[in-house]
Amino acid sequence: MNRFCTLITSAAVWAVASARAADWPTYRGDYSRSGVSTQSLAGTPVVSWTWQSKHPPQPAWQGEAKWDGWNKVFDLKPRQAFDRAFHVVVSGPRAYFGSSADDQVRCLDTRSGKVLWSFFTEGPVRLAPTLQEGRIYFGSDDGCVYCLKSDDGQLIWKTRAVPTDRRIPGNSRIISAWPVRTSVVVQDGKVYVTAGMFPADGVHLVALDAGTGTEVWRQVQNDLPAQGYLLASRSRLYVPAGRNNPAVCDIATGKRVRVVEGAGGTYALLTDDLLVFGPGKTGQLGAVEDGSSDQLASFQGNHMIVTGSRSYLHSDSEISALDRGRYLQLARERKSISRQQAELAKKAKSLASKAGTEAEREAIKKQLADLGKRLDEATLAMDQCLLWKAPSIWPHCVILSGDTLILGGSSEVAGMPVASGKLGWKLPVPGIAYGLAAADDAVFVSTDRGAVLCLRSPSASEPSASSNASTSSRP
Amino acid sequence: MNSASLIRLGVSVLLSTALSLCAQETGRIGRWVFAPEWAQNAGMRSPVGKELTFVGKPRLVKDPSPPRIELPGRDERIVVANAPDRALLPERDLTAEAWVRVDRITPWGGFIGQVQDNGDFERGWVLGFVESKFSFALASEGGQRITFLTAPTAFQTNRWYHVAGVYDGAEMRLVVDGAVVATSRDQSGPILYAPSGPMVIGAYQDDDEHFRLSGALHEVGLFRRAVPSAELLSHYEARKRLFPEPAPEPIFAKPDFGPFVDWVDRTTVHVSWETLTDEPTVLELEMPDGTQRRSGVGQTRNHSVTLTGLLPDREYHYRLIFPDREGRRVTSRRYLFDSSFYYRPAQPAVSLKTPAASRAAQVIQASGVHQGYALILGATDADLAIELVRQSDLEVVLVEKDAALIQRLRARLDEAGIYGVRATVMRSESAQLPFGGLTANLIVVASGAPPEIPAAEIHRLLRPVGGAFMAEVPRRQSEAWARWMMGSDMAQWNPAAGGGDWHRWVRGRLVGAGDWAHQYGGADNSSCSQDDLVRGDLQVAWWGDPGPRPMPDRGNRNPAPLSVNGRLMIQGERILFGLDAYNGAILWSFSCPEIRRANVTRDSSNMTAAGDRLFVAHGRHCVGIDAQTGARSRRYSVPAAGEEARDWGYVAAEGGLLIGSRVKPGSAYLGDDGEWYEEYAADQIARVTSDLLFATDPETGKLVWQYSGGAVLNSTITLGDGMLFFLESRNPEAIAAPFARQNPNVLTDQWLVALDLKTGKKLWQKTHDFSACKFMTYLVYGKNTVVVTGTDASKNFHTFAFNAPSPRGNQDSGDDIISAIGGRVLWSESHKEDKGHHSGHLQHPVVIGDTYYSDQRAFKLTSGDLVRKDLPERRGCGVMSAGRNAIFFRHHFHGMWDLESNKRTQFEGIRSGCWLSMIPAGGMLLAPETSAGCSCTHAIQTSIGYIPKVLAGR
Repeated sequence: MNRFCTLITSAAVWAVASARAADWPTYRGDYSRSGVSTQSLAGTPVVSWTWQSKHPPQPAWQGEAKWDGWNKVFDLKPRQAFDRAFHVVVSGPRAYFGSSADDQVRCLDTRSGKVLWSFFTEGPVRLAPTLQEGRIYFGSDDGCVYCLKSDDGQLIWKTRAVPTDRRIPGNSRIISAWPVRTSVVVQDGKVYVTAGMFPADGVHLVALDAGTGTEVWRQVQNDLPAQGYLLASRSRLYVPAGRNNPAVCDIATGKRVRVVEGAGGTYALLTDDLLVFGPGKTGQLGAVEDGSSDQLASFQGNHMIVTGSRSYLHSDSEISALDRGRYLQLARERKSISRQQAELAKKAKSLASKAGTEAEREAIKKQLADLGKRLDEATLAMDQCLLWKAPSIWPHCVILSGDTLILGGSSEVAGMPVASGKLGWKLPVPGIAYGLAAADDAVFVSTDRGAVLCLRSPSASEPSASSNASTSSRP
Repeated sequence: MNSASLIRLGVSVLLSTALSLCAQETGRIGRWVFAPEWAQNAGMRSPVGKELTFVGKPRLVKDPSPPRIELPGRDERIVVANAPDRALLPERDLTAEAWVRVDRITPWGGFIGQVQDNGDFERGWVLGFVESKFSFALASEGGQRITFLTAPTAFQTNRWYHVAGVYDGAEMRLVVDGAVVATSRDQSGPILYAPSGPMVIGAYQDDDEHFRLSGALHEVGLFRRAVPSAELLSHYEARKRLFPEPAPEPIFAKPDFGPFVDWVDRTTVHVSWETLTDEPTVLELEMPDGTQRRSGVGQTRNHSVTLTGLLPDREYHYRLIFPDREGRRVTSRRYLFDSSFYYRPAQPAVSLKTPAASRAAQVIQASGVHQGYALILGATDADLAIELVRQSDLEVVLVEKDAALIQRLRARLDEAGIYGVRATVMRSESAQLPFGGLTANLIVVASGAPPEIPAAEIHRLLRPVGGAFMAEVPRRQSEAWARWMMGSDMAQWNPAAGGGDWHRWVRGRLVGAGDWAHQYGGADNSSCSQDDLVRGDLQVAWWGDPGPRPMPDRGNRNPAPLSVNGRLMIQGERILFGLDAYNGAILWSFSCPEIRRANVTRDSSNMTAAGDRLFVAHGRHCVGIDAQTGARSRRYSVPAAGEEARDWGYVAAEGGLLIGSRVKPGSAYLGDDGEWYEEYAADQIARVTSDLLFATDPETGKLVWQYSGGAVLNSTITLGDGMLFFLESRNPEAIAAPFARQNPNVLTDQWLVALDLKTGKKLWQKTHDFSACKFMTYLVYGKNTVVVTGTDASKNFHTFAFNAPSPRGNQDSGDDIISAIGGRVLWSESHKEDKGHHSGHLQHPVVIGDTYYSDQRAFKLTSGDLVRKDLPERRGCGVMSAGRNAIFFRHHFHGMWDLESNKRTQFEGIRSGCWLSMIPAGGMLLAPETSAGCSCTHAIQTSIGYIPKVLAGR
């Protein structure tokens, strides 16, 4: 296993085409799942309003095992934690989220927290919807993909993602045998989604026409499930596979390109040419370059934020800022040196028992020593890429809003200006803050107790309010 | 002055002497003596060398001797330097030494080191251990890669050692208690260091790995020279007497029965236990904030405490405290329960009430269904659904086709606060409903008129063995209902007693369904449930809890799940579950820290099921548990052994009797250290033996018969056709052994014995040489043939088959019967284990009809003729289970071999445990989650039920 952290290349992320700059139209803002917004909140925010669900989120999966007894590893990380809060998406003055507790998707007024409309599906809605061009798209455990008008919740189309409608008990609910357990990606007039849990029954990767919901293509995978948030570039679709490693597919056809190597998990981040994912068994992110299956690097952490010049690595106990361009260059150099070392070592081994090769072996030995020194230099230089490191007691989520990192903790969220790496502010919240979104001059916090909070700068905020009232529901 | 004071004085004198000497020592870089007097802030000063920083909360302890730092092995470690410091790093010659006690073995361990071993990047050195052997690892310019020099023998946990690693630029030496135990000349020249990384004490830490030491350190030293072996010997000799021999295992008290932890609601548990006599006990609960809550119980035998205000998703530790005969307090082990293991569905607000309360009560009472899934057809309002939710634990689904009505129903259920979490509305316009077959516990038609859905469809959906169809049949509609029912399997239905207009039909058991009532299917140990239905193509019928968290890790060879009468019973990590086998609904669960068994390969399971009851061995008792409710309704006790304590070992329910065996306390393996029990090691292959076999009437609790002879190997106890078979050792040493877990070498003079099950009288006995069965000894029965099998130390299978005729008519004569017929060798066979993958040598055989499947081969059971030796590949650590038409196993994932089509199927993405955890029963293939702590990336960890597509009907 490689020891080094790797920083990510440029921060060019796939914005959802029609979204305004201050919108947050899909989970973590874009299909790279970058978690970056340009908007800033001035000062210490206050709670503008709180919406509280009657029941907390009902995650599909409890935690991992208590320990790996064979390897004596404790504190195993949950590798399929994608539905522990009602994750919010935002467009203009409206916020939307689905519920794994009451099967509805809701639209809230971001200024008041008032429910403008809600829509029932026939199963838990575990992942955040996606907004585009006045429409909201999402999937449900009922096995269907939905497209509604985002202003009033009217159904435009509904498509069963698999040919068969079979409902069985799954995670303590009667749901489709092929639930939609990934998010929806909408790009270039197509909706990409998966349905199915168990490879033996077929896990369907489907492209639908965004206007009508009719099928464009379908691929069925029989080895991996699909759970978590899909990621997309212009040419690739990245399909998380629950505890396993993501599959990379051709977005034009859905055909699989490869399955990357790593320690599994549903957290993922995409940059120009790197897929970062985890948290693996114990909180490790792996980075895989485009065109490659094996890892360029791995590092201790749960989440990462990438900007033009920096990367922020978020672990259980600290957050650190690194010079990512330099770091990545060194990581590649280091990988190259390691590869040369391995080849030389192999050669040396093959010569070990051959008489008359002493000179050659000596030469290899010297080359190995030289490579070792270069490796040390690269390693040392990588350590020097660290710009700052700060302790963090907010390990559950991180986004970047303007020049402030927003961190989700247990019963608390915090703001940390990136310039200093010092705590800027913190606010109490009810429960564990697993979800954060930044848009409409606000930060939205989603917790494991079913609360959605809107934080605003004091100057922009109305008095704090609580809400769970609905004004209209469909169908 | 008492001895403790003398020791303290001795230590003090030695320390001061040593400290004055150390300043004169040449090449000394550091000397860290762990004693409270050196503590400062969050770290420690040292006589020589850098100050230390503590991470976590390690404890500096002075008494009892020796002074030391206690490291529990969770978050604690000791940092010498966070980055490479030339002053601490010898360029070439090096000696590191430690006085250390290791309490728990880990894959890697470190006493002191600055190391990086990350794939191809290998730097530095570390003194520590690799698994159970001390090691000294180092990378030099001459070697480039690290050499791990390890001791030839394992160290003993909980014992103090002096360990040193020496490198002189040409040779590495590992020195234990003053003796050189290993050397290597693989390294030469200066030591290679990584440019970054910490120097730590009490951990093996590099960028990839971090294993904290569980144990204690008295002193750690570091030299910039190769300390001669004689000098290291003098270090050891000078102080060896200060270190005590390993303390005896602490003696913990435990209640006579329990403790049991039962959930009252999401934040409240009821803990109950019993003592042998009236005595006051106390429950001491450790709260998450570090405080303790003590709850006392008065002078009584039956103790209970209700713990309120529990936080979700937390681990709670507690102890029971008892007064002993001298009035001192003795404590139990530190027990654990986990508040995330709460499985009842969400409860509605107490204030919720509707006019349909009495109708719902009639339905629940008449159907007898309280849990699982209910479908309501033809509802015109949501009241009945709300009341069913309020009065039961049912998940309710209303099925409707009218969009406007659906909207109204949803709004009402949402307003009632139960939409989604307890009740939903689904739209269906088809006469065939979208639900999988055999799923519904209850189907209710509330409209008065027969539904548009045909009766055959209702029948398809109902769960066997108790699934109920309830319909309100007004007199004016009775003819319409009769027409609707005509020709269906449900034609014979009746008004429900006391149920107003409600009529009821209850589905029975599926014809051809089998049960998995014992560890290996039947008490015949055939690993076959005799289920005739699980065959052909299967599909997922349900999935869900329990997930990996409450389960023991995958390799402990834990008791198999059981399934009888449509219920699935699962033994987790000291927690029991009852599930509906057809839909996975959790019927009940409770935890009991004293119920646990592992390494069933060398023992027997601790549970069996019969009818509506589960029997679980627990201490000296066997608990009779209502399989539907989890109520601990009966209790049976092991026959007394004079004044000596005994536990209940083997358990089976057969022929109307509860069969048990008696073992000495503490005999059962517990698997608490993550053992896998697949190596040829004395502490893994020792067999649990019983000194008594007995039969109890489960209704009256009265002892029916008992048998004692030799030391009975629990893993061989087998029942079939009214006979009970086992192997026993008649070696006096084995019989008299104070501890009933015995090495095969002691279990000599083995006899195969057959008893009459009804009377316990001996039918016949046969002595035979089974000594080749070293790894394990299994016994299976079928077709009047009893087979003994096992593997030797080289993993060769050895199998011996004997005839076992059914008892003839003279067993009631009152005389012991020694049959001249039984026990004749029919055939024997030996071969090298074929599977070639880990646990291949531990494969338990399967008997289906007249075929005996073992390893990769199939034999005719009665003749031993080889039928085939090409069983499908089974890669992985599980063993086989079977119905009449298919065999199930782990081949990376869940796997199935259909005997009729000879087709192998894999259910990818999901794996079983390293033992027996997939069972065919009731027409289903049931696979509770057992992969647990698997480090692999298998995508799904869940309990799951598969159903043949022909049974699902959709």
